[in-house]
Amino acid sequence: MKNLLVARKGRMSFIYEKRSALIFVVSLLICIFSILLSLSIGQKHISILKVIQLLFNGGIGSDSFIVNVIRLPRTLVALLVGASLGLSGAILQGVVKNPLAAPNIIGITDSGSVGALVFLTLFTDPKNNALTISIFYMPLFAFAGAFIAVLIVYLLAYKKGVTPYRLIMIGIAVAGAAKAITSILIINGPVIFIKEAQLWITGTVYGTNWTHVTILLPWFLALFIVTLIYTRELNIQNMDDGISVGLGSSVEKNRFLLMILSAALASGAVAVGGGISFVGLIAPHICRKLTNSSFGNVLPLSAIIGGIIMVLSDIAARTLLFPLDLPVGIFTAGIGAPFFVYLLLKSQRAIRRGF
Amino acid sequence: MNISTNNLTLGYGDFIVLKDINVTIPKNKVTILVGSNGCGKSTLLKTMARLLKPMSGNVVLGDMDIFQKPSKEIAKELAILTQSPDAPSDLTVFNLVKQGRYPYQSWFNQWSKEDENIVEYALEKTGLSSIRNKKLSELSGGQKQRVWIAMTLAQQTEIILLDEPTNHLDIKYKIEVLDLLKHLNQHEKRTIVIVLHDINLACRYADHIIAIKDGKVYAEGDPKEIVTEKLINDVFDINAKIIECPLFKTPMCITYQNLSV
Repeated sequence: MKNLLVARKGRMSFIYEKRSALIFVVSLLICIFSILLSLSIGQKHISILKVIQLLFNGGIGSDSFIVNVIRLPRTLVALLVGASLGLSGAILQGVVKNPLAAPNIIGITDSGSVGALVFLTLFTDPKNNALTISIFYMPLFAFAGAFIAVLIVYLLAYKKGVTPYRLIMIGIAVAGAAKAITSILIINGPVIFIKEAQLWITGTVYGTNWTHVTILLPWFLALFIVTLIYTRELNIQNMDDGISVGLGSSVEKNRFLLMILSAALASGAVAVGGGISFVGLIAPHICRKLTNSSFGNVLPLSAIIGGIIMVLSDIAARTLLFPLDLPVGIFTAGIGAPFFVYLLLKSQRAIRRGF
Repeated sequence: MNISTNNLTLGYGDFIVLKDINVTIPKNKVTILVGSNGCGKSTLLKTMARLLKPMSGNVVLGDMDIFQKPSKEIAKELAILTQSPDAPSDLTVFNLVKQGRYPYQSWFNQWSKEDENIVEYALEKTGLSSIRNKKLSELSGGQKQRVWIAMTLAQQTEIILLDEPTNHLDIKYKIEVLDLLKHLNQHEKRTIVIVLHDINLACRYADHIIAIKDGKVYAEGDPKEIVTEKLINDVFDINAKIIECPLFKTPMCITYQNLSV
């Protein structure tokens, strides 16, 4: 019992592994550091100490403007998008009992693209290639596209209940169909539209502001809390269905609820950040390598690691080829993959050493 | 708590596997279901554990139809271990055994003193206390099976159903697992139902055997009384000579197809 933290009060009781708690705290510190770094680096370098000062005291002047109005909302959006995708991927991997699952595998990302492109198609004036309504409505369309796709996948996969295998197969089919629609829309769209569409499909947090943060933050927090409540159910879902039913879990009902949770998180991220790939797949894996497959560890950590990957990727996206501000989606794989490979190699060596 | 079936008809799609099954599982005994491959013994076990819905008839647990009862309440009275279950291999023994407490927990009550005591008991009973922090991937087949049994023990149920718990195990671990189940039955009065395809082990460990053939119960009762050369021939479609096991005094079958080989 030495390696466990146990808290009991009245009818409430909780348990957590000490080592995981430590890793969680360390990740949180790294996350905070990444945020500060992101606020500090840019066209104008502002020291981290100055950044902290500006954050707490506000103040006026150009530095305060750069940190609080330009960099902070963009960094927070990157963080929230990454956290949503990481959490969404972790949930999905539990539901379909397959660590290769990610939000894009059941069509969430591709259908979000369809939503975004439908918006661009409907509201681009062909005469002057300008949008006829505000670009702020694009996330709504992306969200609707992503969410509708998940419902379609679930309904099509339903046959006296849903098996993980059918979910994945139907998901791949729906994702394929969505990709086809995306291609049709791009090919038939006006030229200006291609760049906008491509940017969106790659995923970018360029030009995000406080409005995005105030929309995404409560959405993420609410879903995060519900997810934590469902941690137990995910642990059960991750075993064979026979065992889950035997333990008295309402497997079908919980599977549906968890799918919706995963979809809602990913849809929110896709709506604001576009088709960012890889974070939803890799973040939960990194967490498993750092701790283990118990969802009490994987869920909160996936959100943090997903956030870190996105914040670091965004720093790379806007500084590496400065003054070009590249879409962050290009870099998520570039940051996440090497770290993941490192963890894989490290754990292999540990096995060889006999740990 | 008694468990019995009432005119149970089971099948998949239009295909009927078992028809009008009426069995009562004797309380505080070890019951073993035997029959040839595909005879429906696993299907019967799963239906008794509410994992499959019957085409008609019902399973009665206590005095209630099992499908009328809340699933969580059933999980406090009856545990099932399905055949070769799977779980992420980086979970520790403790992680998995702890899941057996699921029916007693809620999201705000995840680790009561009672949970702790019972998981402790389950680990100790199955001899896993000292390796509780090992990952599943580091365990032998026999140890892994004991982990699953420990999980069902943590459910603290009077009835435990097990589908081929000795599948893919070396003979040493087969005996280890069956001895453990017999021990649980004798010392803690648990009602145990096992699907097993080794007829000799079934005869040794069962108080009650249910032999299934052609979608019906061919015979049921004390192995000493019902296991005959005719039963082996009818149920398993193989010839046998039955002798008394010198160690356990239970029937022992020496099977053969053709004596002239």
